[in-house]
Amino acid sequence: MFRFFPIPRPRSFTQQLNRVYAWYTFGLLLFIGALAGLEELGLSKRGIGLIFLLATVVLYACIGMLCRTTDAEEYFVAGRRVPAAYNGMATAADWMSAASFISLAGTVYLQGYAGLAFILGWTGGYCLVALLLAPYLRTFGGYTIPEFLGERYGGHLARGVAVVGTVLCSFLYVVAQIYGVGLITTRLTGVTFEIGIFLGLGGVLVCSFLGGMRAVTWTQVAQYIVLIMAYLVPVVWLSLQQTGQPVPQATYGAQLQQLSDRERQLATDAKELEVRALFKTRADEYRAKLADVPAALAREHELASARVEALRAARAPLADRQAADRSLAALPTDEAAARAAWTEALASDEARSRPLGGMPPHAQPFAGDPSGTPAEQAAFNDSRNNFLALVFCLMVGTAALPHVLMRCYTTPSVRQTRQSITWSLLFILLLYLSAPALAVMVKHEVFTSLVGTPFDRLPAWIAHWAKVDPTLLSVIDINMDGLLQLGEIHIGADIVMLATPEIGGLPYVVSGMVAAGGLAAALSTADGLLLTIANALSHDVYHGMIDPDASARRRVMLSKMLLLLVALAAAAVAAQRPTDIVFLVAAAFSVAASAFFPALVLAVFWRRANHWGAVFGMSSGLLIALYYMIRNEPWLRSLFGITVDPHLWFGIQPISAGVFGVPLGFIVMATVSLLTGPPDARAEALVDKLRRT
Amino acid sequence: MHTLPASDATRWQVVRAITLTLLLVWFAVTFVATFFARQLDFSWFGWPFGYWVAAQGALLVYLVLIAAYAWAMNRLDAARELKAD
Repeated sequence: MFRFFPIPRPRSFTQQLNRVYAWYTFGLLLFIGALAGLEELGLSKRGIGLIFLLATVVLYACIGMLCRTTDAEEYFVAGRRVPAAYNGMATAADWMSAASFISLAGTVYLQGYAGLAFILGWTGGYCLVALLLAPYLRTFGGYTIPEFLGERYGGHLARGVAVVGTVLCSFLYVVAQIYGVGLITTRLTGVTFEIGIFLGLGGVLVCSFLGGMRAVTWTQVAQYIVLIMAYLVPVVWLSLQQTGQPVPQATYGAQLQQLSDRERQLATDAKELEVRALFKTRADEYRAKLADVPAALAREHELASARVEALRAARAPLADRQAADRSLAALPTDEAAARAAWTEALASDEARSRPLGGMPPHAQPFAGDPSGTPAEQAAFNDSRNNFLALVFCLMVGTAALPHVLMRCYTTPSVRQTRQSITWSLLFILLLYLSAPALAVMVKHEVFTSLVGTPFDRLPAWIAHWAKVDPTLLSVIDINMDGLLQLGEIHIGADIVMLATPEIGGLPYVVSGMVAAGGLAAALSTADGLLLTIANALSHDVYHGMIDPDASARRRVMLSKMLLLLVALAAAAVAAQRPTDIVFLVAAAFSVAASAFFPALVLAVFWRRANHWGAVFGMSSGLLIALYYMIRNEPWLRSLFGITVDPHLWFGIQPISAGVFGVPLGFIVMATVSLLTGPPDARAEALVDKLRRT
Repeated sequence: MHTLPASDATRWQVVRAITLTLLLVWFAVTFVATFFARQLDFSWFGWPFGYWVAAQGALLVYLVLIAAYAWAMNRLDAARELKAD
């Protein structure tokens, strides 16, 4: 029968979502436009930064408020009704941390091909997630990862070990995120680091505290939109300026070639050689000082005091006398401090005495030379082995980090889980394909336009960022010729992304947007991680082991309390400013890979794997990775007071400890499983259920 | 001790074969191509090929692998549902 008016059907959930997020994106653009208008009218940079920071945090908090819930299914797995594409977006935001957003392009800028290990590792891991884990986890349909391992391998012990691994790697990772939040807010608004941490923490807590996974999911989608916009706008703009093309990912090969030509030219440039020689002299001075620290320190103090005295006696101008006082006060007070400061200065000056300021030729894979001297061959092999090892650890770690795997539980069906992983990788690639392009474009700009500029005509962004944080960017005219040489610029990884809008000549409001994007990346990851830790403790430890009769409501309450405690603990650790943030992140990957990957994969793919195999496999992988890192990583060595000499196996750096942990985990798990009895009927039934996926 | 019914057992074999094939491609792109990155220095649309693989090529292959897996598994599911009807 013909009907003139179709029957109004209720809109599907996905259509509703499309509408909500379309309006949200539109509102976001309006907001940015309004701020750009205010900037024209004379709003200060600090004001823009502050408005951006507060507006986005309040926005996330509002989403959290709207999604508040006490229902267990909603709180732990967002009601299992997140459509594939949205789950993909949330996973992408969950996945891309402050390190991806802010440091990735800079790492590729500084390390060239070696930096691509992060690009490869942090995307290729999704193949393992999609093929080996995601569909099976969805079929299982629990709330947490330790719960899955506990059900498959039986008994509290396996589940307990899994909880320890989950808490350890997630905590390492969340400390790094909160540290990132602190850095971004400090740079954006000028508030102190500690206040920055607690401001950001407020945003995370309101969101995950009230609504758990449900609130986190919908906030993460909103955060993904902010962060991808903030990343792509400056990249596309810079590309339009340099080449007139809006898709740098497809065209930056030409700039890479020009960059390589320019690198060869700079390597033999007379002025660069002069700068390098001067840094070499400075490095030699530090080496001499380090040979006898107490004597050198005493001499420095003597010289500085003598100078202060001489100036006072000569009634020199006040400014000179104050400068002398300051340089006396700036001297290291004790031997250990002097040794640390001078070792650092030596390393930095030594790097800058090498060609291109210590950076390798951008397009050349690996250091050394496979057909050169034995030393060059060894350097080549070492560099290649470490590259492959790092890629391995990052990939396997991706497929074992509980906060990402947890997102497999939230889709309505197995089919949608598989699609959602495809969406995740697509959304992640938008950023990951842009980062190397951005690195090359910024490098091209620095190498061709900036190098050779007179010091009094340097662009304004250099002075701005050098004032914000000299470790990010500093310039020094060491050979006093009034021109900037490549060797005279010191660049920290983070500046590449942070300064891109200004390099491209965009208004400051875009810089504010970039910082807000970095904040979104850090907060979304921190949200997911905190929830993972709190859920493991409340659902697995309390409900699973202590009080199985606890009501759902009680578990949710407990999870919320734990979330608060864990967040405060992480903030307290981050406020101590643990030195090496990149190491913290990579360590989380090695720990997760070593602890979980063998047990997760064999749970489905090897029927014979049993309880004791899992317990010993997980703990031995975890322990060997921890041992290798604590023994060899300088910061951990000092933290644990290790005095035995570092000992590298096959020259592999401690950052890639998972390269030993994962195989050992597999071997131990297989051996112990075969030595003990087969798994019980319940586990067999579960394997059958999973394999029918 | 295989307790899976015959049709499920065959299906599991197919699933394993699909998984293994795709993983082999993943391994080749990730580790074999990277291992020879220094030798693969011919020009590819302006990039040295070895560099391009690590910066873009491998990433696109990963996306294709995951999409292919989702597609193949969905077809397998559809076939099973058809049989069940």
